[in-house]
Amino acid sequence: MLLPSSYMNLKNQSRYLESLKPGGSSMIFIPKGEYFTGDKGSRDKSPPTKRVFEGFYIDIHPVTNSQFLVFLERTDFQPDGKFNKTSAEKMPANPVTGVSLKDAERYAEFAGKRLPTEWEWEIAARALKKDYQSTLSMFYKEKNGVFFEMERKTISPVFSTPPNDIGFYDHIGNIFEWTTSAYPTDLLIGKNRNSQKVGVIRGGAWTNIRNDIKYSTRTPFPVKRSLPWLGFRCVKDPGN
Amino acid sequence: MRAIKINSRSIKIIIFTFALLFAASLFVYLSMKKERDWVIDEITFKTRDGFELSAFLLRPENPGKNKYPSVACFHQLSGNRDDFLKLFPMFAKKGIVTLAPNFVRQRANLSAKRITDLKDALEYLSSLDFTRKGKTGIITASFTVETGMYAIQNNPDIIANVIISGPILREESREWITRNSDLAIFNIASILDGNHYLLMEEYTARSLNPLSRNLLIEKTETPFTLPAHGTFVFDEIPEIQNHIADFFAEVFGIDKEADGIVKNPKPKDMITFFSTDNMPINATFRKPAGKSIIPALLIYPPESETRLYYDELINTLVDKGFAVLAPNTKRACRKKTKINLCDMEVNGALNFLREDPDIDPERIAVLFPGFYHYFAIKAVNNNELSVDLIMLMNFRKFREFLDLEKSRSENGPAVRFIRSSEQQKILFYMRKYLKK
Repeated sequence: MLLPSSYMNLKNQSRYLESLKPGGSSMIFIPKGEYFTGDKGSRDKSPPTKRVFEGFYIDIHPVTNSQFLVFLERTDFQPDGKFNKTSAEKMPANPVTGVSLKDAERYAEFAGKRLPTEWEWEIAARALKKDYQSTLSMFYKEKNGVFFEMERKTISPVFSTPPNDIGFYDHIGNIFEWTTSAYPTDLLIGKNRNSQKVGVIRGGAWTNIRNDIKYSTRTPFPVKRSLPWLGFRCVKDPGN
Repeated sequence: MRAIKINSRSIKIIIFTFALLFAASLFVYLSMKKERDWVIDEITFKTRDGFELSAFLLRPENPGKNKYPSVACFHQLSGNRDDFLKLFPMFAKKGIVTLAPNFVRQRANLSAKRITDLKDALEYLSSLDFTRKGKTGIITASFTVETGMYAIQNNPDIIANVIISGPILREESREWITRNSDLAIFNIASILDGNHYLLMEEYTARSLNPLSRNLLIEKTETPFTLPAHGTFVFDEIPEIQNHIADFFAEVFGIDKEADGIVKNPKPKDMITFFSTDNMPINATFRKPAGKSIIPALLIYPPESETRLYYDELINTLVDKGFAVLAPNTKRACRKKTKINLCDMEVNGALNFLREDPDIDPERIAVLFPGFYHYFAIKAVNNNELSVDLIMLMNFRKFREFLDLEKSRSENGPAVRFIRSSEQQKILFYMRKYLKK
């Protein structure tokens, strides 16, 4: 069994093994309440806003290649995106990438979950805090149990970096993650703006410039497309 | 059969009709030719802080009331505007007005002047009577790509961007690719170009304009001893020039080409010589009028800069009876690992001078700025260049000589006045060694 080498304490080893089961990722509970989203001076036009959330569970890490491969094995689903099966088989602990929004939604449905809205993703990444430092260093490298900032050269396996205060892993700087939110059409200009649906992806990838992505950054992306560094994680409502 | 009577009156009518037809055809031909004539002007325009930027402007000679789409070309650090001249004939054919400034105020960070200069160049272009608003594009290369993306943000008139060997773009720039749904991007990258070849997939995926595209140069071997990068790809993979022209024509919706022909494809004094590995290198070459068998000076520019900084010095030297060849920087010759590449260019330049019948092959000197010292020392030790004089100027002195130390911080490197004392210093050495 290939285990991710970096942030793999005993607790995470069992979590990781559980996460290999389809839909089996460990989840954290976000209790019902009012939480802050957005940021001051944000260029993506989401000022600090208090939003009310019902309680929900969210995966502690993005869906992995191994989980997605099991999903493909058990269904006849053909991904829309440029998902690379051969490469995924070689890196089972890496987050699944190269999936479109539709691919991600079908997986979530299979796992009895759903995709998060952008605001659900954001409050979990901010560890539910109001004044949490919203621009974080995204890159870490472990040496003797201590994490140092570094520049990432490619996608890391899940659990490679420390979690935030509520145990949410890979929250920023590894891969972008799909959300179900639509990008506001009034922020788009030009005659092609209605040519296809534009969604919001969150989190920033290893391809971004250091400190260029905030928890509040709303990245527009056409929903029918995919990227080799765009994946997803799921959420679940308490009653389901 | 009925006989046809031809009298002198009929003959006169026939001749008159033919003459009329001929004149009309001639008029139509000349009018069409006039419309097809395009010219390259060397112009200057002022930026918002009063700095004068020089540029090549490709335009129809007689635009009349026609409006044309336009493109502004911004060369990379270590590059020069001359590389874009290769595109001009194709742009004239398509009917695209083109501005290629000498983009001199580039620095390692995104300073305001870099961005405002680029914006001002675009404003200048749109202020011309014969350019069509809303049909403007840019070409940026390497270091200039991010500057270009910054400068065009919130400017919906810029609808096409050719990105050659781009760096990792900031998120703000990536967002603009999606937010301006009319913006089409054309990424060109070599597999040796850092991460651009990888990231261009994301940039294109983010674009809502279906005309966006990528061109990946997978071959690592080029005809030259240099990996394809920035505008050098025009030399290394010439077919890219056609791809760029076709891209702009599609984005601008050019149904009918202007079929323009450039009357003066090469600016005054510009020559092209070839390095010993056959890379074409543009240079300014001036000779004193009416003299034969003259001494010559091969003068190299500071890295990242073009021969234009020397214009005043070149004129002075020519007035004093020297021929001057001032090549553009093509390869970085100061780095240890690049010494052999430098060899190829300097020897190419010397070969060019020696083949000129007006030049005395025994009296050629080479002037290098100090950071070429690795190369200069190697050349002197091995006597590779076969010249009697290599003038190597201390880096600091050289910058002072060019008055760059001060001007870079104030106005950028292009503002430079060679003081007469400095000119005298150069002339002193030249006279001494070349026995003028």
